[in-house]
Amino acid sequence: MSDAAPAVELRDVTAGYRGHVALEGVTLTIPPGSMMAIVGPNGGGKSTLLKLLLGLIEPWRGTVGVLGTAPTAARRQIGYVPQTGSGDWSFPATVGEVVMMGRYRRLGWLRRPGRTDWAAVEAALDRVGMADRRDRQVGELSGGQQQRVFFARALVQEPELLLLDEPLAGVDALTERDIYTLLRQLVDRGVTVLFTTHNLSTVAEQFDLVAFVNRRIVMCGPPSEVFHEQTLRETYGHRMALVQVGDRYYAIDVGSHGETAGVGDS
Amino acid sequence: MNLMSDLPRLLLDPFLFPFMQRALAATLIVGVLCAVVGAFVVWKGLSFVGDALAHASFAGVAIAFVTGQSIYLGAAIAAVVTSLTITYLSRTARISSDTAIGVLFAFAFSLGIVVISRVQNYTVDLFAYLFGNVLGVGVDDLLLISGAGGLVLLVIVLVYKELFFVAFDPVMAEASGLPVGLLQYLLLAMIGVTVVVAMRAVGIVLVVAMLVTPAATASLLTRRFHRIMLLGALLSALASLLGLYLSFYANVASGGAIVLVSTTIFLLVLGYTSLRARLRPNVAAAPAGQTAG
Repeated sequence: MSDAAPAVELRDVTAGYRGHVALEGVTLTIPPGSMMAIVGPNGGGKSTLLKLLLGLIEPWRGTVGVLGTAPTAARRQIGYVPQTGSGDWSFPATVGEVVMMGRYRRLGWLRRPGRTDWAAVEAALDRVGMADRRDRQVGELSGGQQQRVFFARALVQEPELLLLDEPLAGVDALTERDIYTLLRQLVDRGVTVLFTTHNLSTVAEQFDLVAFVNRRIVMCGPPSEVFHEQTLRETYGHRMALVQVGDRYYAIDVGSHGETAGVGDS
Repeated sequence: MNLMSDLPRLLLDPFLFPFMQRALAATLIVGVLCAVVGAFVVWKGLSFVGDALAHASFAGVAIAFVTGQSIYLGAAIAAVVTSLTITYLSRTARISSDTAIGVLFAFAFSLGIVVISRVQNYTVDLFAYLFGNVLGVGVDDLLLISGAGGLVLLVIVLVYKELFFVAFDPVMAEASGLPVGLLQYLLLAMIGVTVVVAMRAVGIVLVVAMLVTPAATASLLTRRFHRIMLLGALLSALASLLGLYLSFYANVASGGAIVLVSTTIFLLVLGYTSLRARLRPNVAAAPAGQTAG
């Protein structure tokens, strides 16, 4: 797909926690500048995959490469947006201070934020539509605004690889739309975006690539090619069914509420 | 008797005594240090830890007392070892940190009591460590208080942004490559050292009030973390000074006097902010810090 080194390269990776295997024999290559969704059931290894890329856990077997090097060596180039609700939002911190945390790694020990750093914070807040709230307490923000703050924090890092761990759970539709617009702008500039999600309906519309993960990579490719009943079955088991209505596919979660969860054009 | 003309004399006379000069220096250092460290204690719900470390240090005090070693060194070792053990136990998470603290602090305090109970005639000297006697601070004490206290303040200034990041979001801090575990150990160890430094001024039993009250008062007035530290330090220094006068003129225990003044300031500020919130309901009142434990 591209001549450049892959943004992410996993070779035969097995990993887990305390004797419990979360991922087994995973091989995955993500070309730079792509926007990939990682979907799969809870406990299927999505978060483990992100932790491997962040260098927070070591693989038991196999190799993990990020931006042509080891995850820990690439940390400065990796941005991370955690799940909604991550962090201590009652802690006395302002929006600007939290966004500035994205610059800490770049600053290193003992150095304090300077004018360039504050300019980067202002610019990032402006891009997420929070420029007027720089001095607000983070505890006063709504869930969607909190996620915008986390997103701005990832932006000031100026990452080459952006990892997002279910960043839109419980977020309002407007924020979701704005964040997809921003992600697309980043991807157009060559940033690689990796995004775990439960929401299958947006996957087909918003992402170039999708990887179905359930302990292994069930299927990986463009949504139009990999959105099959077979793939969903293998990923989610029999709780998920794919229904065709007209020219659209609907993925239905039969297990929980029977609600319509996903879509794909045929 | 004219209060106005006598006031300068009343305020300055106590400090003609060298022991009062040392006491003033010691209380100011301890007050500022406790308030700055206390900002973390209040906002990360560490008041139980602070209290536990103070009580655990008693084991070190007792053992050093019996063996004739430096009381401060004994207390510092006991406090730091306990703080590291608490962090270790709560990070490896077989038991909750609250439980770990409860078990350890009772153990260390009992150890101190058992050791001391073997010694005759201990009450007078140990009373100063349990309840504080800043009027008895010697030159050596003062050097130690300023040295250790200054070191903790310096470390906080140097790694402020990293401590701030970890306090807000340890998961994210770790993802960005910060040694979160090390920083958590460091914070607890600094609380341990602070507790020992404050021991002579306010006593083991009252240290927790020095850690919590000024930072809680400052949290009623501002919601910026560094300002909570600065304002807390100011309020704490004020309480220390007033408490020292109270101790001198009313001839009461210095530790208790300082804490009483500090609590009075807290109640006044609480009353003021509540009244302000009621008079201007559109301006949201800043809620008090979460003081767990």
